[in-house]
Amino acid sequence: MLSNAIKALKANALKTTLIYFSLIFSIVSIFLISAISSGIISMYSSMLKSDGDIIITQAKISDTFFSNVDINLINKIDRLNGVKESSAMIVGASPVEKLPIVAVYGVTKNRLKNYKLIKNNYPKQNEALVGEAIYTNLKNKNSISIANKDFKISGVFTSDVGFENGSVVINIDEAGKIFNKSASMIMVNSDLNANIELLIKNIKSLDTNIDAKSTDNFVDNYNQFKIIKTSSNVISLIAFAMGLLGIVSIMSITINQRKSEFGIKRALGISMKKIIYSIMFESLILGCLSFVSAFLLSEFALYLIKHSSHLQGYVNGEITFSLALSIFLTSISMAVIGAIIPAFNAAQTDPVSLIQGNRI
Amino acid sequence: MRSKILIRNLYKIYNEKKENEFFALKNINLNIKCGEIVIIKGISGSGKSTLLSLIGALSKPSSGDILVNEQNIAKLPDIFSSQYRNEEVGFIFQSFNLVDGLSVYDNVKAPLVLSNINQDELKKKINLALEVANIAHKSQQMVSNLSGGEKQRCAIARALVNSPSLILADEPTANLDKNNSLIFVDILKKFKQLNKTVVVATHDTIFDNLAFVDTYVNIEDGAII
Repeated sequence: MLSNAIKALKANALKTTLIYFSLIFSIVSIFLISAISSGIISMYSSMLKSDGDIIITQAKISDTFFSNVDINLINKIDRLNGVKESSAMIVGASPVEKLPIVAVYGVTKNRLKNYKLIKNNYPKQNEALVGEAIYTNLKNKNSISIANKDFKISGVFTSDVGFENGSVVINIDEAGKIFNKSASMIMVNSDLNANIELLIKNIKSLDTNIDAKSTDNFVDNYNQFKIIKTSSNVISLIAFAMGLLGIVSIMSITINQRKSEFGIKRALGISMKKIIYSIMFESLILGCLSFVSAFLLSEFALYLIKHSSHLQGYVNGEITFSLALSIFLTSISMAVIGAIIPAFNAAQTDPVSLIQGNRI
Repeated sequence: MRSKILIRNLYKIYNEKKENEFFALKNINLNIKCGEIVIIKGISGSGKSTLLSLIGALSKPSSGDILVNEQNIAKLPDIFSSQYRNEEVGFIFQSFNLVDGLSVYDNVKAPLVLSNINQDELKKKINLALEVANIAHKSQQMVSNLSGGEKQRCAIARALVNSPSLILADEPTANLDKNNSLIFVDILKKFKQLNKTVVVATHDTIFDNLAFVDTYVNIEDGAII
């Protein structure tokens, strides 16, 4: 069956190639959009998760970017039972040299240890610590300008999280002046045996303008992630539909051109069921081949994206086993569903008219 | 001799009960015995190809019976009519109907894809059919590179490969020159020696007055005259 299917695919080389490429483009699109969106979510999640057990933001705000929390709360929080340490951060962005947008994190001194130094020192007043990805792109490696204020580069850090590796870290009081806020969020590290739910309740009671969530809860309910996920699913669905349409149309043309072949097979006693199976099997082979090619192409594209200096490591994607498996199943469904209608059309036509070459 | 094909009150009507209703076959009654060579003669559009396609279960009649080996094949569901065509019938078509993207060998192999025979037996059957049809020397060539006569011989090999008891040939010499047409007539004689029942639909005069032909049937406007 396999050798017959391969011969049939070879015999229709042009159409086979067109279906193959149509499938590859769709699968690569699904791969990239899914991998990049989950990569972004995973990067931001791991950045937040490394920051503590509880995250405090301004209440009733849709995004941490717009959040403003009073930094003085740290003193009250540190006195609560079960709190080990708390730190604050301002999340902002600014153009740096030719780069249009660079993440700027203003952090309290106790957070600086989170950034793994690879060169020189942590920043003091009027100094900035820059991520490795930014540092390699800078022409002037001694100072940078953020919102028209010059900062001396005190050192370079590295991070596996692209958002951090492509960012600038300054002291929170200076970031507060630039972005005109006290703190975007406060992160709380709890004691090992602390009751997180009780701690959250106690933190919330300190100020009615704040919202406190466990880090996991925060990540799960973060609006930006929901938007990214929904957009990714919608784009994947569109790519799937485009691929499906491509296969149905090319497959219909191919089968229309092969109508006499199917007529001959019907005349030779090959049943309708067998013809449907053979067409779907051919499509299945194409689905598998396209998946493998698309997987390799996507890995290569993601490698290029990850190492593109223009993207500063902000856009990052990873193909996990579960993602690959779900896209494999999607590819197979796309190939099989795309072949069903043309296959039934071919099989249900009278062999006499198929031999005579009537349109399917 | 026992009947191979018994046709009773056979009608084939296209666009039945519509304004453009057309009777392709009208009240056909025919008895073909085992091992007979039958030539159905008639001008183009007379209904001879339609009759052949009904005997081959390629299409279904509007009414009437077609008994092949005493089994009525007129209303067989697809799975059984496919099995009948695969096991009992060998087709030779006017335009050869070979699959262009395949070699002679693969075309001849096509009817055997459903059989459960082992590879050695399969090769033996194919090579035998290629020898009988005198096309073994071209077995690895793509059929698109063959001449008309060679294509016809490839189609004959394919018709024989399953060792069918019934061979149906529709205008087999229409696309052949005189020499190749005469070769086909010789092959017809071989079929006779192999005790195959053969039905040929043709308007070619080369089949006229052949001594080994058992029956000539003339068809006009869908009826036997």
